[in-house]
Formats: sequence, C-alpha cells, structure tokens
Amino acid sequence: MITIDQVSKSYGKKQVIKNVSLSIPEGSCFGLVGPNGAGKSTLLKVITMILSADHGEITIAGESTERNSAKIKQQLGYVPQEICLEETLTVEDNLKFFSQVYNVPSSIQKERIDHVLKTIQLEDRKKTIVKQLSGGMQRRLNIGCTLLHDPMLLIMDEPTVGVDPNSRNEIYNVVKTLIKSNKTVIYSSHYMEEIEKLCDLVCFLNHGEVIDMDSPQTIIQNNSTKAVEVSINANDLKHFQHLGEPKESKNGYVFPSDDPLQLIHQLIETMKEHRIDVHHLQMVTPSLEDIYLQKTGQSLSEEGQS
Amino acid sequence: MNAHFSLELKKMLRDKGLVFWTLLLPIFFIVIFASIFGNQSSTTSLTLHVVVTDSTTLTDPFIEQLQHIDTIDLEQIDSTHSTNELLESGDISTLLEINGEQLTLHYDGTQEDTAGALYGIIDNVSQQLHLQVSQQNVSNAVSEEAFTDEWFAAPFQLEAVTIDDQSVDAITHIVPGYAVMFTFFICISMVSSLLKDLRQGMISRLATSPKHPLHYLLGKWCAFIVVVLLQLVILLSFGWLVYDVQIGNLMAIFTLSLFLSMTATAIGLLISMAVRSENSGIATTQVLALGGAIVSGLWMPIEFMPNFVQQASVFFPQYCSSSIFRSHGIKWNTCEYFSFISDIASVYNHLPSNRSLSLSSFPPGCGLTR
Repeated sequence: MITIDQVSKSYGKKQVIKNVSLSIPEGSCFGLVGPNGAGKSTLLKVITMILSADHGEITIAGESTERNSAKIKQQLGYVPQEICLEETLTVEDNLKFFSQVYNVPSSIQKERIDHVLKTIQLEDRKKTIVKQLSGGMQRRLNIGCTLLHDPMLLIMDEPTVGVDPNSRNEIYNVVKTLIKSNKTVIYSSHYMEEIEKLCDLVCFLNHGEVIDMDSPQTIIQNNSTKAVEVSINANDLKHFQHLGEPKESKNGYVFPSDDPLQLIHQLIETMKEHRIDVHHLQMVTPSLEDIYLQKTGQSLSEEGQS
Repeated sequence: MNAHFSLELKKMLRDKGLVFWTLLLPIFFIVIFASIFGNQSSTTSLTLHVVVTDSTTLTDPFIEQLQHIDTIDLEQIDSTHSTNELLESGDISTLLEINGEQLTLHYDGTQEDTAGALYGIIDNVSQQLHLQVSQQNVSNAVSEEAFTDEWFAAPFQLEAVTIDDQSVDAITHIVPGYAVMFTFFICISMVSSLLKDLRQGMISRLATSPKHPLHYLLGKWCAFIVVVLLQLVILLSFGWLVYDVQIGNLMAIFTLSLFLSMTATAIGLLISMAVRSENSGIATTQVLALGGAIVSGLWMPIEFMPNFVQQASVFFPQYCSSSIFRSHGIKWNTCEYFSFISDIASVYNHLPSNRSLSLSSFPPGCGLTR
C-alpha cells in the first residue's frame, strides 16, 4: 500500500534521511524504531506531507503524495508525539472540532463521535474538560481525534511517550482494535516491547538509514543463536580472552560468535583446563532490544527514558 | 474556517488572561486617569500679586478694572515686603508694583509665558483706562458727547463665538485613547495562541488534514477580530455609561472599530509569524502598543512632541483611530460617512504608499487634518 522510494531529506547541510526505501503492505502494523535523531519523526512528517522530500517518491494506495495530496489526506490520520488538544474545552468539543477539520458530514458527526469515544474507551468522559483527564486518557483522546474520518492509514509518532504502564496497556488495546479493523498503522516508538506486541513489521532506523527491516520473528531468527552466556567470575575472565570480547549479562557474561556450537566447545575446554565449575551455560536468543543494541550500539530503553 | 473560528472563540471566552488584558486593565487605566485628570477645568486663571507703593487718583480705578478680568486672580499684598524677597522665596511668581504712574511687572524667569500673558492684559487695561480718561477730558472740553463717542469708538468689534456646544475635557481624550491603545495588546494573545499551536503539534496535525492552511489562518484571524471589536464596544460603552462620553455616529464608530480591529489583529499575525518565542512576542507588542501610543498622542498631547514626530504620527494606526474617535466630526451625515468609508478602504488598498494622501482627504472636522 505504501511505497517509499529512495527518499532523502536534509535540514540545511545536515542530511536527516538518506535514500530510504520501504514497502509497507496494506493492513499491516509497521514499527519504526531508532534512537533520538535517527530521523523517525522526519520520515513520518515526509510521509504525512508535513515536510516535502528533497529526493525520491512516496506513493500511498497507488497515489503519489506530491500529485494527489488532497485525496491522500482524506485517508490519512496522523497522531503527533505531542498531545495537541484544546485543554480548556471538553472531550466532545475537541472531537467536534476535528470532525469538522476532517470534513466529516454533519449528518453522521454525532454517530462518528460516539463510535470513536467507544473505541478509545472514553464514553463516560464526553463532557469532561480535557485538562481534567489523566495523561493516559489525553493520549487516547489524541488518537481518537484522528479516527473521526475513519482513515485507512494511521501514522502514530510515539503515542505512549510519558504515560504510566497501565495507561500504556489501554493505548495498546486501542491500537490493537484499529489493527483488527484492517487499518494500516505506522507506529514509531522508543519502547521495543510495544513494537514486539503490536507490529507485523519492524524497521530499525539509525542516522537516517534503514539498518534492518523485517517481521520481528524474522529479525530475531536471523540474529539468534549467535551468542553464548556463561556464568563465570570476573577474576576468571582472563582465561577466556582468546574467545573474544564478552559483554556482562544478568547471569554472567555473553560471548558473541558466528559459530556458537564451536564456541560452547571452546568454553567447556577452557573451563576444564582452568578447573572452573560450570553452573550456567546456554545459547542466547536475543530479544529485539538486544539486536537493536547490537546493531546501533545504543540501548533503546535508555533512549526511551531520556 | 468555521471550525477554527468557533474553536478559537470558545477558547478565548474561557481565557481569563485575555479578559484581563482586553477589558480589566484598560478599564483600570481609564478609571485611574479619569479620576486624576477628569475634574480639571478647561479654563485656567492667572494669579497676579499687586503691591502699591505710591498711589494716584487712577490707582484704584486701575485695580478695579483688573479685578473685573475673569482670567486674573488678583491678590493685593502688603507694601512693606520687599518685592525681590517675595519672588526669590518662590511664594509668588508674578508681582505688579504700582509706584504712582510707574507700573513694573516683576516675574520669575521660569514663568515667562505667564508673565507675557499678564503683561499684555495689564497693558491693555492701562490703555483702556487712558482712553476713558482722555474721552472724559475731551467730553468736558467740547461739551458734545455725541462727537466724542464717535471719535473714541473702537475701529474693530471683536466677538468670540463657539461653533460646538459639546464640552471637551480630559475624559473625551482618555476613553478613546486607552480603548485604541489596548486593542494592540491582542497581539500578545495571538502570539501565545499561534506559538502554542506550533509547539503542541496542532499545526502539524492540521497540515495532514484535507483543509487548506488558509482556513486555519482566516478562522483564527476572524475570531481575534471579533474579540477586539467586542473589546472596543465594551470600552466605548463603558465611557458612555460611566463618563457620559459622546459617541456620535454609531455607523462611523462601528466601521472604524472594525477596521481598527483588522489592523491590530493583522499586526498580531505578523508578529506571531516573525517571533520565535512568546517573550519576544510580548516585548514586540509592548514596543508597538506603548511606543505607538506615545507617538500618537495617547499618553500626552501630540502638540508637545517634536515636529518630526507629529508628522510621523499620521502613519500610526493609533493616531488615526483615536483622532477619529475623539473627533466631533463623528456626527457626519450619510454623504460624509460614505466618504469616510471610501477613504478608509483606500488606506487598506494602498498601504503604505497612499496612506498619507488618503488620510488628508478625510471629511472636515474629523480631527485628521493637521
């Protein structure tokens, strides 16, 4: 449904997006992951036509964003990272405003507002002033405002940033409902857990370039069994220097290797030689977070907290 | 556009800060300045101290005639005081010493204007007394009163006629002056609102909607125009209700208020797009609103300003608006009203090139001709 072909974008002399090419199938949930400054928000803004690309082309449902922006915008919903609501007005006032902005016919406006309130689970808060809502509720309303015109493509830029785990789960439920209704969702996040839970496809972006893109299972499969974890003391590390540079882990140390079976054999031999007891030895299956760390050299959870 | 317009109006009606800037603060200023300057009379009197060191038969008639002049408060003082002592002590600023037929006007050097006016009056009274005495002497000599009346008749008759029965006092200047000045404070709210939309991602979100960006801008602008218009209506009505300020031609006042609202909010939009932060927006607005008010004579009479400031003031919307608001020419007939409309439209169409030309052709008496 969405094709991004060799798209580049620069701010002044700094190139933020470098020849990015992606293909996002219709009805999928596409996760965009990357550290701060990776170019995620810029890429989303180029897709949503807030910014224009310097090079390349984006087509959505076969229509070019440059030539048919008005038609595409009618099928597009964008949830910005910021909570952009009028906080002095009621939930209903906000929804009414956005329904007018998205050209929802007045004859079905009430019906659409009620449907959206049900989807975001705020039916009983219709008359509440927005600033009296909790952060999580405001986030849900922020999403709800983009659902009024029933868009086929939803672009969400870190919709759970700054909310507590309970509220985050409520937002997951809203997004899951949207995915089930066969909408195409592009979801940018700092939280890998969200991406693993929600997305069919994941794209790692770093310094404006795509460093990996596939389904979470495939990425994990492609990057699995390439490390071995062993429980040893720091004092014994000197005996394992010939096996590479280990990384400290919860249960000891992890030794990366292209041939983990060979590595296990070497580890056992070394431990026997130096009479080190083996309490724990296992091939490690990395999580998406580990793979991200491995590929970018940065921890995503630290980014998320920053 | 309607969506943005109604949303913005709803927001503003709930904004307590906006109510303070647009209504409470100007009303506070009007009340304070009206209580300070409102009781001042438009006529002023000059105090003249008189000391008689040597009197003649004409001394008493001369003093009596001086006492009949309304603009002079005559105070006779003890002749034993030294005239210099009195002036140097600062207790008095002018002193007329009558020494036989010699009149000497002593005055404080800082009160040259007052002394000049008093000198003219004293000289006039002295000449008049001289004429009366001469007429009496001639009349006694020729015993033909009719001839002497004719000979001594004044060549010119001077009469003062007022062409307007409305009273002009400080309130007439204060109410429209502050109403105009505070319309420009709307720029602060506009900067704040537009920057908030930018910061909160509202503009980004709206950019992804099918609406043209112009709808956003026009909707917002129209809402602010309505607020400023309401502000002017409330402030002028306050002046009318509380201080009995003459409103005059309502159509002209409404039209002027509308154009003033458009001008102030257009400047607000310009500032909003030029500044990067709310603080710089507030600073720019203050410079514009307060600076424009000073240059346009809203704080002190324009006549006190240097000549180049007086000439430049016609280019300020504050000057043009307050002049018309204060003008007695507000009582125009329909023809003059349409002339006013065409002129004001011309100003908007040809800004800035033909502005001065257009202003110069306002109907007579509207206060814009210099």
